[in-house]
Amino acid sequence: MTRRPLALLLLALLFAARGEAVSIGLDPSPVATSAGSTFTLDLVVAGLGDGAAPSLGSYDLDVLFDASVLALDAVAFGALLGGPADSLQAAAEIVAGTWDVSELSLLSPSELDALQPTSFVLATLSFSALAAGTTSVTLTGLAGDAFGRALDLQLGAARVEIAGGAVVPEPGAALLFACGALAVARARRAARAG
Amino acid sequence: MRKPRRLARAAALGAACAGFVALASGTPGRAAEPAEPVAVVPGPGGVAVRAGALEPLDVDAYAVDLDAGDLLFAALFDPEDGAFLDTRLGLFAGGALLIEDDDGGDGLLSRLAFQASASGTHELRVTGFRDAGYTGAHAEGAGAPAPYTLVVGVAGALAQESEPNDALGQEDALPAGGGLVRGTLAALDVDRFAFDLAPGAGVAASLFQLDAATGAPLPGGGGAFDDTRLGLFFDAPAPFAQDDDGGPGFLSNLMRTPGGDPDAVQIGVTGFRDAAFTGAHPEGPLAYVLVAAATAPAAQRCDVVAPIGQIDRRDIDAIFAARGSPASGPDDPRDADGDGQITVLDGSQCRLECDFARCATAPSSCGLLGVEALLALLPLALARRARRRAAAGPEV
Repeated sequence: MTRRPLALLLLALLFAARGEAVSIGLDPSPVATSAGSTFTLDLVVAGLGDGAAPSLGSYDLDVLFDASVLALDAVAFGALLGGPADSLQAAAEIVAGTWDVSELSLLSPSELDALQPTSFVLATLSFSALAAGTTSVTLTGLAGDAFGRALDLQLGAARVEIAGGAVVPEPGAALLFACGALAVARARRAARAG
Repeated sequence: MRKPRRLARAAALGAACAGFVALASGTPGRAAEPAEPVAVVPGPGGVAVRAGALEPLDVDAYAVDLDAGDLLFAALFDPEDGAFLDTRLGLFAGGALLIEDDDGGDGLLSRLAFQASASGTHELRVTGFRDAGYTGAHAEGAGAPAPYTLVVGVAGALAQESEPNDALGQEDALPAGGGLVRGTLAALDVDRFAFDLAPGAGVAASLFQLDAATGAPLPGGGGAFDDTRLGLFFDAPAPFAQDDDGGPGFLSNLMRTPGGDPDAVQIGVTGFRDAAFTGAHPEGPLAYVLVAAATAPAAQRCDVVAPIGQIDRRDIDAIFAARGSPASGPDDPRDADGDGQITVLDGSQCRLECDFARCATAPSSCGLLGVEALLALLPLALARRARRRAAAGPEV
């Protein structure tokens, strides 16, 4: 979890330095997990004004992934487009391996400008790793500024590496345990002999 | 009449400099627009209407397919009759500029007429008047995006007017939504046309002069000697709107929305001296094309579901639910940006048109809450006053 603020900071610094396109990416990346486990990816926007224009007024993204190794279980939206009371939100599976994630703020441009920092989490995507393999979660779609004008958008992706079971092999762990027990036993014997 | 543009040009130059300095210093660039060129497909009457907006560094492109010999007429309109927005309109084919216009339209707006010599996709580009290279080097819309309406008419063979059409009730019918018609204006002559109009829609009408012998558009748009007047009528002898010299030269253009939601409007063409549209003028003979089109007002574009006349969350919900689908046509109220697709951006633009804050379906009911809060504070204030008096001791 400590990597997340660092990644957000790096994204913000990157786009502050470039001073041009707005980006929406997935964080963290890469993700290392194992089959049968769950993990989350944050949908992160960066490159906005800090309490000033440009701010994000809407987005409509397709989240694409290999449905044979991943399943998207849930989407939790952030609050900086107005939350459920003041934004329209939609997250639904279109076909296997493609989810539509979209939000449209009902806040005024000045409210959005004041509310949004340079970078923030739009939504958190909860995945299940189904099988071993390496795959990517990618994004397509569009986003608009507070006035509904299309933003010059850069879309990111996340790499997911799924191991085929427990991360530490059981025989290796047992061997290490046995070695440790043997060393303790020898030490005790040596102490008695002494 | 000379158009007062020096002040506007000076202001535009200043704004352009500011824009370029901002760009050079790495300020975030302007918002991108939908993919261009935007396709322009004329309807059954031969006309198409697209809504757009210019902002600094912006060039809008529209693609239109022409057959060899086709006549193309394009005119820009805006809500201020071109008083502030100063455009340049160019027609390109294969990247080469074929014809362009600066101030041929209403006020500082542009319009052009062209006869295609070869078939193919042509591109209309709208930019600021200073941007002779169509690279976006202009500052129009510097304060806020400047909206405009582009009316495009395409015809292989023009429909002809049918005389007599001088009086109310004798109008030649144009297709619903508008169309193109060729007429000849002679002394003592008034030409009248009519077409059906959807509730809330407006009318854009533009006169182009033709060479009477060849039927081709006159170079420069005409209007050098012939002086017309154009009127819009709604079942009354007097026009609800009229224009004399909208341009080019002494020709006429105008765009208006009639009050009262008429289901049809009439258009009158006469000489400039004939303000009463009785035929009292000596103009002509003048061969012209009238391009007339129904335009949807901005508010109507977002007014999708009942109650019609109010834009609220129900309308935005309907647009949001339809995202990803194509627009039903140029008048689809869900397609706010006119790009032919319903997207989340249409909903986002329409939310700015909502009647109440945050697109509520009714005004927020603050009611007596403020007064009630003050009443609740009254006992506290009285108690505080009593304590102060007690602390101060008995009055002498």
